[in-house]
Amino acid sequence: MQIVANIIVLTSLYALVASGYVLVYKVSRVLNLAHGELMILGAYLLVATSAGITSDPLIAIALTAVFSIIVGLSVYLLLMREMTGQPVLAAVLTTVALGILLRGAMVLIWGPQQLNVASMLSFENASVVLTDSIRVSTASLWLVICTVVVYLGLLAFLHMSRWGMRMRASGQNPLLAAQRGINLHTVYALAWTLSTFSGSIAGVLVALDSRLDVNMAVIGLKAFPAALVGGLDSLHGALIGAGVIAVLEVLLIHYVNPLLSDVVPFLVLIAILIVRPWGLFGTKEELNRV
Amino acid sequence: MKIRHLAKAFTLAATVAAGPVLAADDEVVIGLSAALSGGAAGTYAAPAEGLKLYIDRLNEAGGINGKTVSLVIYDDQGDASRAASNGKRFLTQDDVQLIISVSTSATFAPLISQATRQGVPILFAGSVCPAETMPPAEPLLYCSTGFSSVHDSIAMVDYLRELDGDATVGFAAMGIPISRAGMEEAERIVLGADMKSAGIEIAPPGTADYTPFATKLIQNGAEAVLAWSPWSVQIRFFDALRKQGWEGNAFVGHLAEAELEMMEIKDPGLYTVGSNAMIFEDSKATQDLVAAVTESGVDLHPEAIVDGWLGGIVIEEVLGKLGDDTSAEAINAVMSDIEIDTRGLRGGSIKWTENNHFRETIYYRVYRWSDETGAMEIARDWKAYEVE
Amino acid sequence: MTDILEITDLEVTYQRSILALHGVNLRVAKGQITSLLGANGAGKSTTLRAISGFIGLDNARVNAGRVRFLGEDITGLQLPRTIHKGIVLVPERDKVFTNLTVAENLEVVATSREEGSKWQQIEEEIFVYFPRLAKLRNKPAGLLSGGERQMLAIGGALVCRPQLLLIDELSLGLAPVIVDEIIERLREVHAKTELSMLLVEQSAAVAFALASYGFVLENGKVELEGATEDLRSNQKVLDLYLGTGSTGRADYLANARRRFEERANV
Repeated sequence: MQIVANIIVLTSLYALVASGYVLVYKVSRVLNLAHGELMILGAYLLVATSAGITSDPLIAIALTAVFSIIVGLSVYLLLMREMTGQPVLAAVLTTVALGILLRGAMVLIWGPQQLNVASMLSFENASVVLTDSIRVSTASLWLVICTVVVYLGLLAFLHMSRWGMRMRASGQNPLLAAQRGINLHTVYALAWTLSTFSGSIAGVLVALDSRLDVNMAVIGLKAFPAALVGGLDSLHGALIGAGVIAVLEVLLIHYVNPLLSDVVPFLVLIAILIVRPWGLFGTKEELNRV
Repeated sequence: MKIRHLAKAFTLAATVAAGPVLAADDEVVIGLSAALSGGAAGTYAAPAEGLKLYIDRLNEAGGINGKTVSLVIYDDQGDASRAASNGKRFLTQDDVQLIISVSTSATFAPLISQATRQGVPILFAGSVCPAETMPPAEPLLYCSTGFSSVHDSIAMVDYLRELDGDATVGFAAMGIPISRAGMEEAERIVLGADMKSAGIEIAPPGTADYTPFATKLIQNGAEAVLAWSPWSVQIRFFDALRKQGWEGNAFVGHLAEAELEMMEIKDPGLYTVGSNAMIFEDSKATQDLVAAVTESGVDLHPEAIVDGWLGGIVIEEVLGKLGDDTSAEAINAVMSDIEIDTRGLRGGSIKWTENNHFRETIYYRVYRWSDETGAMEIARDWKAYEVE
Repeated sequence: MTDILEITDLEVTYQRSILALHGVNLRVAKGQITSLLGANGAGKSTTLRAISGFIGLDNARVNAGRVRFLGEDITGLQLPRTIHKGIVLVPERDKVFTNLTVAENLEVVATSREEGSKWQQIEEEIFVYFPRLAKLRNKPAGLLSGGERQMLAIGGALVCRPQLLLIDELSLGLAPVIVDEIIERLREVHAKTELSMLLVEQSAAVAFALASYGFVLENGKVELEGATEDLRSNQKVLDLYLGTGSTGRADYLANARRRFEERANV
């Protein structure tokens, strides 16, 4: 039964990270390859906040959330806004450069060593006994809860609020959106902000659960198959994609060879790209062919 | 914290920018290729800094035998291709007489092939010891590092048997050859000693969540877990085990991060097995080291630099025995027959012979956190293991 | 009668060099429906886009000439400011958000000033004009037929509360019976609101059915203008644009050309 819990936790992690890819891709067709770094930056912001501003963990986390929103907004306003109207490839390459830049900057500022964020915040990541045979850590439990809340929140936002609808509309037809008076810059800024925000939540919780170092940006890469398998422009697709990848990974570790867990998600990704390039739940006509 | 790292980065960048150094007669040029940044820097940057600090102090004190050391430092980020280009620069631009590696095992092959072709010796001081340094040793390759996957594994299993000879043992490795080799050896010894194995779990690099691996070890009935891999991996394995309520003992390699982390984790079930002394014991040797770091004003944790410091001692002793000829050949000749006093930072001396460039006898200590005293303690004092 | 829109000597270039319009002159009288006739490639769509505002993506700009709206010079004004002035375009292609439902297509439109109950009221108004849409309220717009899409597109534009509605190709690709229905609905809208409209068409029959005044555009220039009755009797218009229904010669030529272009685009 512990395996089921492990699958749920891993699904939550991948889904939360994948939601960031989906939000930005859905509205602007840009694949944000700096998402892993932005996610880790969220965790480092927590480190900075707790070291420099407040020692109260809850206030520190709240401030980190605010900072991550500022980061997301700044990334759009200072960098990605300039890419509007440029070929998508140029924008994607910009995110690659941003990722490399962030990685270097984070090592420079916070150093290469692994940080124990939980102990910095005096957060006791205790083991929670769910049943006799199932235990998860407190941070993992929060991860699952946050993922559920973020997904419900995002789905409600996208389908019930005016701005959410505008995000969906702009992603589908930016020209018409502009012709209907929707301010595309606001929509894009919103997408980047939300994406960085949800990514930062994932980063903070992963850092609280294990530890933090710059290499953890790779988790962004591991959540990538989840986002793509589900379909890059579909939020519930990302959730299901995350589930598929997590199930595969955990079962492979448990029953086959753990080393396969690293490779198989990408094999699934390739298989999906061949059979159904737009993903399980993606929109077919949105795909720019090679 | 930020300022410290920026300052550090600038110092290193300045050293790098100094570029090719022309060797004077009384100057020995040594190249240091280290993982100062990148993924493995958490383990290797501090020892590299420690080594530099030691050499700087030697030079300030007038050098050894009138010879000063010019240390050329290049960052290899733990990456093979960068190590290869560093090696090229050492040998063609800087004309180094000795190369020191404080980096990942991935960087070894390109450095070794280039240096041996030119007859320049390599000292592994902080990197894990490559098999080539062990008997029968290849010429030119020497290792002074305090950890070695296979020997650490032998010592770990040995201590585990002393503690609980009936335990079912699980093994946690990372998907890199050196870590797997160590754990496979450990499992072999465990099975040979009629103990039960719960299997080896190998986590690929870049694993997001170690919980599933830990679950499998627990479900296979592991009562004790052995781990030997980069600190960030073995400690996440341990975290993942504890998060599922696992109450057994874990035995891990003693790497640069160990002491500082153990003082934070405060878990008496976490044992580190290694051949370096820890700073907390406050012996003459560790006091000297701490004093030197404090005096230098460099912001380094003494706990993390012991291997680099020992590398400095090795350089000092080798140059001390060096005559007027300071060529790479002469240095190699000295290194292939020397006994180095580790001055209390190890259990005994490092003795290199023609056939053995690792050490004839390796001494292991086991450390853990003690709840009774609320401090670190020596779980078992130095024990000698012959290297065959 | 005052003109709500007045265009003088308008020149537009694409990608800095391709001249799409060479000196277009046209006017839209306030409260009237005006038509702009022309074959595909004559510059009709460009004229409309020049009025309703380009966006950065278009890589197009007004080179010379003036666009005046309600007496104010709005030459080169970009989206979304043209919307705020009250100029709204129903584009020729991709005119609805296919992933949104019909109701959402109406709701999504930017009207931060319209709040709460007033909002609902505007939406209901559209469903009164186009009862067919009311039944499709929760259907994704991607599943609508061509005619339904056109109605929804007009509805979405009306929600923007335009003072001038620009419609690019009202009848193109639609079955005659649907075109008749849409014409009927637009007449109702016009009768009720006296909304000024500029209608781009390839079919003179459709244009004449709605508009009271018309311009004929050829090769980026206005060749002919006049009241609908006058145009109706003009031999040239008869030859080129007044085929029977939607099978006129111009339509035929335009469609052939479009098919060619679409193939060339792939």
